[in-house]
Amino acid sequence: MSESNENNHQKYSIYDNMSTEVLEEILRADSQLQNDKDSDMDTILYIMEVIAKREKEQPTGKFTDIHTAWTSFSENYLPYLENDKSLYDDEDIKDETGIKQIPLYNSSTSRKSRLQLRTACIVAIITVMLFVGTVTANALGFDIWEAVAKWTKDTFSFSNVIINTQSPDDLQKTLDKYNINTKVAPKWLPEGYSFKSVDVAESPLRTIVNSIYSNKDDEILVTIISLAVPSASTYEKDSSNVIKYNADGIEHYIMTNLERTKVVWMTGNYECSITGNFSVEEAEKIIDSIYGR
Amino acid sequence: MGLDDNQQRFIEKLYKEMYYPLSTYALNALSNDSLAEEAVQDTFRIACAKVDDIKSSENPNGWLFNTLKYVIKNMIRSRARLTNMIISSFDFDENIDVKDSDTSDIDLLYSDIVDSSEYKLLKRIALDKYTMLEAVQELGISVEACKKRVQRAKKKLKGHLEKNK
Repeated sequence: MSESNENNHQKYSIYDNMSTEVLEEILRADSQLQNDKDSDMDTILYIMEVIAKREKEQPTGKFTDIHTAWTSFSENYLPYLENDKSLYDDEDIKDETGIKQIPLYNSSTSRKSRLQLRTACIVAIITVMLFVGTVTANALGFDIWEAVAKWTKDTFSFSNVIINTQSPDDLQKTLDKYNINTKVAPKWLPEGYSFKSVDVAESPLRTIVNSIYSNKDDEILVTIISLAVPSASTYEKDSSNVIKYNADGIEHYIMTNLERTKVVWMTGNYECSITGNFSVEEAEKIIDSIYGR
Repeated sequence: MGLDDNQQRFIEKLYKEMYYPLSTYALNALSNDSLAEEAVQDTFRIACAKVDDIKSSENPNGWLFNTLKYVIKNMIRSRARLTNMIISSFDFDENIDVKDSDTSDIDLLYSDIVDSSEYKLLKRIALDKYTMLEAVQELGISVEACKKRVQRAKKKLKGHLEKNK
């Protein structure tokens, strides 16, 4: 091993000991950075190689095997060489996202990049700890609580907070806490359903509030997504019709999928949905209750 | 213009070295294995189209990584835009009672806006989350033809939506 490689190995060896879940969270956090200059490319490339090596040693089946992929590339993509822009490059949004000038490699990594990446690492660890609960901070070589304190001072935010209480007002209280003042929370649900939980997931691009109401056998899920940048989700539906229902000047779309009813609507920068086992009439009553009708 | 043998060997070596690392990043960024694979394939296609650039780069892996990130960004924004357009097209005519319409009625309604098969192609990509390759395989056309067809259909639909705002 050359001296340079050995130095690199020592510099990045911390990532060798991290779980694949944590490393994947770091990649996800990096992909959501608004500014590519904030990404520490050397470190991210190292992390990608660590995961790829593990994939080769113990295939998870998540990826097409390389021989099949190469054959598909040669047959389908290689003949299309005349155009050096992405297949998804829209001429009308070239200025925003164009690949016209692909930046070449810049070997310098700024202090800010390293800080951003450290933040992403911490956030990834917190996320995995909250959701998996099997990773210990000491094993990863981090003082997690010191890290949390530092993390809250940084501008980059990507956190997961889970709130579990039994008060029926908690969805509204949570929305208030996140300054979501638009009417989006239902005040009525079919008989027998009561508040179960609410959790909030934040990323730089969106804040997702998920609230669950349950009865003896079933659950109703209320999802409010606050978008930093307007975008649209795709909802799956079956072959039945989409019903439009107007309330408070807002179009709500009622559809069914896998024998469940889903209501979706957009209001301002909020994308909302309510999903559960209820009738169209009950869906309309739920919608009315949002606006106090 | 295709690649010469030397360039072909260079790309194939790079592909074998970087296919899994790039796929790992793409999958975590896009959360969809088919789209992730297409992002990686598109990245290598661009690398072939700009083979002299990547060959002269001091760090070809870094070059590929930067390209992948731009491909992913383009993919996310382009698909989000298309989805918005398709959803807008459902609301396009206030006289339509969507409650009484089924999907084939909407296709017929738009047959004067875009050619019906083109509108179906847009819906496949926006609503069914098809990759270009999946659409290509369904239509029996090339990737290049599919991209052109998508762009043409989007332009037409966008024009009609703007005209009838």
